[in-house]
Amino acid sequence: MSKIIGIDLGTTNSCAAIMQDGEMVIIPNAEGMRTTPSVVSFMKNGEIIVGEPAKRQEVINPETTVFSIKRFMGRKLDDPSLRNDRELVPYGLVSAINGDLRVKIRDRDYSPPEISALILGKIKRDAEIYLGEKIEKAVITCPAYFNDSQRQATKDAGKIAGLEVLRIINEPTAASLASGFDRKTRRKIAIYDLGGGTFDVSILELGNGVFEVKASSGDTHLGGDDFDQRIIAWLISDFSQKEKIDLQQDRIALQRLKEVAEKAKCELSEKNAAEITLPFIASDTSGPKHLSAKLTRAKMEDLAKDLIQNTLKPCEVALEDSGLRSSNIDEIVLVGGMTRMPKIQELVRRLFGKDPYPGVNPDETVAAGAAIQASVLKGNIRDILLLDVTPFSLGIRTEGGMMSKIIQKNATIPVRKKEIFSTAKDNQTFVRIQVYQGEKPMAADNKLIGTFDLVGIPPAPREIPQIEVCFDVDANGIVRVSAADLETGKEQAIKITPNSGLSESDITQYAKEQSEVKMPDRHDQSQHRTFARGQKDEYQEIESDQAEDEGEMKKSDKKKGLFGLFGG
Amino acid sequence: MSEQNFYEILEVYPAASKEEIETAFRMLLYKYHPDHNSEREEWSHVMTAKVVDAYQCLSDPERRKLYNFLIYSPLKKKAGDRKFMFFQGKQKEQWQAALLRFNAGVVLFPRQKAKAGAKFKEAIHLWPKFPEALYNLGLCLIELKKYDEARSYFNQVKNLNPKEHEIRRTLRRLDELTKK
Repeated sequence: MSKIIGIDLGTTNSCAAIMQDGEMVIIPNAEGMRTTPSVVSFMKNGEIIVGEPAKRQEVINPETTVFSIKRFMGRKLDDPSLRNDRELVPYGLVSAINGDLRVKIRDRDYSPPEISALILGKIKRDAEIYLGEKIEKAVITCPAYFNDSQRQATKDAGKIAGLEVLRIINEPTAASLASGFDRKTRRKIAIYDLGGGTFDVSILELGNGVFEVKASSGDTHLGGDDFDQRIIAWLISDFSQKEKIDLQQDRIALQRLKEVAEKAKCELSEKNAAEITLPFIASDTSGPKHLSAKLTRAKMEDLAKDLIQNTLKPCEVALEDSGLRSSNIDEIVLVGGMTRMPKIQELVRRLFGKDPYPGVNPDETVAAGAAIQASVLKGNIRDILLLDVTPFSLGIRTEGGMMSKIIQKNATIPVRKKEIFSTAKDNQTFVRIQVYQGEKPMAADNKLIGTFDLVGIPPAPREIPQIEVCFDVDANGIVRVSAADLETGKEQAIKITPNSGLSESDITQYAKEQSEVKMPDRHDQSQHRTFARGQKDEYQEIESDQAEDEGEMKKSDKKKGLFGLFGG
Repeated sequence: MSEQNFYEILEVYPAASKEEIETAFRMLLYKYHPDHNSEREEWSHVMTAKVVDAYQCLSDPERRKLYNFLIYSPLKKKAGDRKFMFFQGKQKEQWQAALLRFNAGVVLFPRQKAKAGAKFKEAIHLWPKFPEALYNLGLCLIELKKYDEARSYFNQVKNLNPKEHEIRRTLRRLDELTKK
């Protein structure tokens, strides 16, 4: 069986990992870095660049450089929760015919899964070069609080990139797998995951190697990006006071501000103050203007006060849903780059009354967890099992527009639940099954994820026919609904798979396009330069080069048996 | 094949301790979970869902107590076929209508106790001396934790069939259940 890699497809950074001989290996990218910026830049000459070099394009070509695409996965353009996100990005957003969000780059519209696929494609190619063999399978992570269409969009992205996505697992759950707990002792774990664009909190119970998620909650619009925005806003207002120039209108200035804001934020995790200087940021009749400011840690904390506070609510919800109190939690794990912020560590310490679990790398743990899950799926690890939950309630619309819940939120998956419904009118021969996801009592206030009709019900008085509606949520968290008329006895079931807005043919076409598109690796090692997907001869040539370079590593690949993971 | 009860699904004795149930659950997860059965997706999905369902019920002491009650006092799935032959005209129609509600209640019972209870109530309304419906309604009310109401329906069954031992046993078990 070929190798399976674990991928953390993040809002700002992505990371890939694999288990080799019981050892965790974080796969470096072609630039030699352990994480890859989730940025895609479309060049004028048709070339598409991804990762660190694309990030450098953010300042020069803001309109054609896409970052934070994860915020838009599986969304409609008019989604009210996107209002802030839409203003955050300098690239154009348009609507597809069905209302789905698209990114407009010059004369071409890209769906978010296509952009994500370009990132996954780079990770895949870099992993192939590093591991010296073709990679076709992966476990990809997504925020625990992603809904069904966002999960499906993530799966589609994998497919477009030419990866078979064996499993979508939740980021906090993945993190718990890789945190290195002694799996034999029973304990309750809380994962606090504040990434670039999303916030997740999960409560788990560990025993006999079974990681059982009790509850998860979160906010898909809260992350490091928002902290950067606060700093940018502060810099802009500061500058306009001093120089009477509004930088808001200048896209290139904005991108430069974003770059320094992010850097200053990171610096403040270590130091008490960060100097920000941007020469030649603007000019007026008196000549060029330079921006120079000093951001203290206290000021930063003040700017982001409400953002930090906003992470408390999901923590409380998750604790309540799990039926536990903060004092019951044995371990607390911090994941995501933002958790390096001292103020956040302080908040977590105060909330749970204990120090975070040490030795967890907040940037790499999620990918490492995905790699462990990959190893489980491959059959190399037999003593670990993930038991996750579905983050939202699922149900159907019944009389009066009410939401009749069939699967309650935080239900352990995989799950199958059946309920029986009937007709509302005499001699009704068909029923429309409308599947909703959400917690509100009225169906219309929740998210409609699928609709289908069950026809051919024999005429009968109202409330007599018995229609069995069956909900399945598989281990990937993806929902399947079927309905059958019990009266006729015949199996008349219809399956719906809520989708990301992309049809099967779209996905196949995009996959074909991406395998043909020219994606130059214009940097670093020359041996990588000629490499392009879909060109088999070149591929093999590189593979053999690689085999020589890393023959040592290849030899060790042959050894099997990953039971000794963590020495546990 | 008759439906397995939760103890059978978890492969434990009905007297199993909380720890035994927990251990059995985790062992069975390794056996059935889709992560460890990539070739048998549908089967492992269904089996895991079953095991999880059983575990969630039996690991909760309150739910387990109720569940035990139902194992020993099962739902009555059939209503007196014999009576049916002697009814005629309007009476026959009335009986058939009641029977239709009763059967609907039986189908609903495993998943929706409140709805099933409503169906049995309708059946009783159409045909007041309907012991099976009265008994089943009692079971629904127990699931909904309305023990006193349930007891009154069981007593009605007892009054209809004073010689039946089963209903006396059910009433005794109900006393045990409500005793703190």
